[in-house]
Amino acid sequence: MNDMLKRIKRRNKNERPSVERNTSLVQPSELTQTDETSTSASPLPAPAVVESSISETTRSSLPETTRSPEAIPPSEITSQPNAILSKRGSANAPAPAQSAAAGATAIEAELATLPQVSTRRNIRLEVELENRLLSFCQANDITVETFLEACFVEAEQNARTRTEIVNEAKHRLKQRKQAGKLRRVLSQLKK
Amino acid sequence: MQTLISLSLAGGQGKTTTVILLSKHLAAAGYTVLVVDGDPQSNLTTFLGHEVAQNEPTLLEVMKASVQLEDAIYETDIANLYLIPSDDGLDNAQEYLSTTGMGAMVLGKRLSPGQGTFDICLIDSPPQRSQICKSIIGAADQILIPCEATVKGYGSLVRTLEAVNELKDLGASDANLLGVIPFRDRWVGANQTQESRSVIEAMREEVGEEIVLPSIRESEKFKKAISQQATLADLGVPDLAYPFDVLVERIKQMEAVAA
Repeated sequence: MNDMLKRIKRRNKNERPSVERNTSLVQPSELTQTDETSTSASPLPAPAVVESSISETTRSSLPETTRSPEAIPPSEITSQPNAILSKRGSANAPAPAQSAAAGATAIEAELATLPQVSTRRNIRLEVELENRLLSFCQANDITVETFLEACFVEAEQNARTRTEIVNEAKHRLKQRKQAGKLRRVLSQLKK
Repeated sequence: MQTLISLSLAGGQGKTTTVILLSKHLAAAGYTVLVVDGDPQSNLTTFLGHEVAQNEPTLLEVMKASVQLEDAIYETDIANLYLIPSDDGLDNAQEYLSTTGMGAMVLGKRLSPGQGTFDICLIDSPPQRSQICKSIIGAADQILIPCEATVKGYGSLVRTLEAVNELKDLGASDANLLGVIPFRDRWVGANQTQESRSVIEAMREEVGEEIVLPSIRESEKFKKAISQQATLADLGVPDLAYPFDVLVERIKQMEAVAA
């Protein structure tokens, strides 16, 4: 039998890479569109309630993954440079060619202030808990990654929360080690 | 690996029905078959009894190359039949493909590691002129166009052929038209209805006599076979499978010529 087919047949769910996929009709980028992009063509305008509830301060603190550089298309920077740059706090209106470059520089500067994201890593979670966690994150419009980041930040700042989380994590680690030992013994018995 | 696509730019033309029944026939004939659900409605995935978990790789991740091809291939309950599933998330491929310079080439490139493992790759397509559809046409060696035996169906055939020719003119496809399958061909007793007869005749004029395959008759048995994950033979109506028997023969001949 072909090697790829053998690997496919052997594989179970836990051996596949875990992925995150947005299956919602409304894309995260549409929810985080800024005022500047409201003139760009979009199949679904961002709901007004969401738009108005996100202040400029909040927007600028959004992580890179939810507020991409495409938020202001280059064509718009070129076509409406003065409007965009004046909204960004520029007092002098530059020429169109200069304004496109200035727009790109401004985006790069803003990007540099946002958190950088590390390379992807695979994590394995308790099966039953994973489903609950995914549902929880979906219900709150967050990702597992940002939830984990937020938990860590909260734990760092709150000693009591930190102790509870660490105790729970130690308990879980003990269970995993025990399961590992049992699996090893089992495989030796089967040899 | 020959890549066959089931293509039509209209809904309800029999694309998914053709893929499911043809793939089962090919698998039963001993071919190792990979079916790819290229429609975000994911009916093919459902009818093959696969449930996609939110964190499991699908066609979207294959298209974006965020996983390896084999990470997104799943065994089905049918011997020799493997599936790359999809879900609503596949809609996100539109943006990716439109920002990739050569969107029409992406799927063919992503499926290429399956060469040597699978004999036939059979792709179900969405019923729109979308980026996903373009990429599916770009991946095709052979095109099957199921087409309802109605005026709407004939219109969809013309529109689908235009889309394929447009991509051929651009050099984004060199696929061969393997066949047009009249779908829901209506008969009352021993008589074919006037509409079915005239529309199928128009199909023959459009693409040529030899390209139009035996029709898939209007019958609840097809729906039953699909929803109950059974074969037409299991349901006691093996004669209804004749269009697929002919298609399998045509594919065998095609393979013999290629060899």
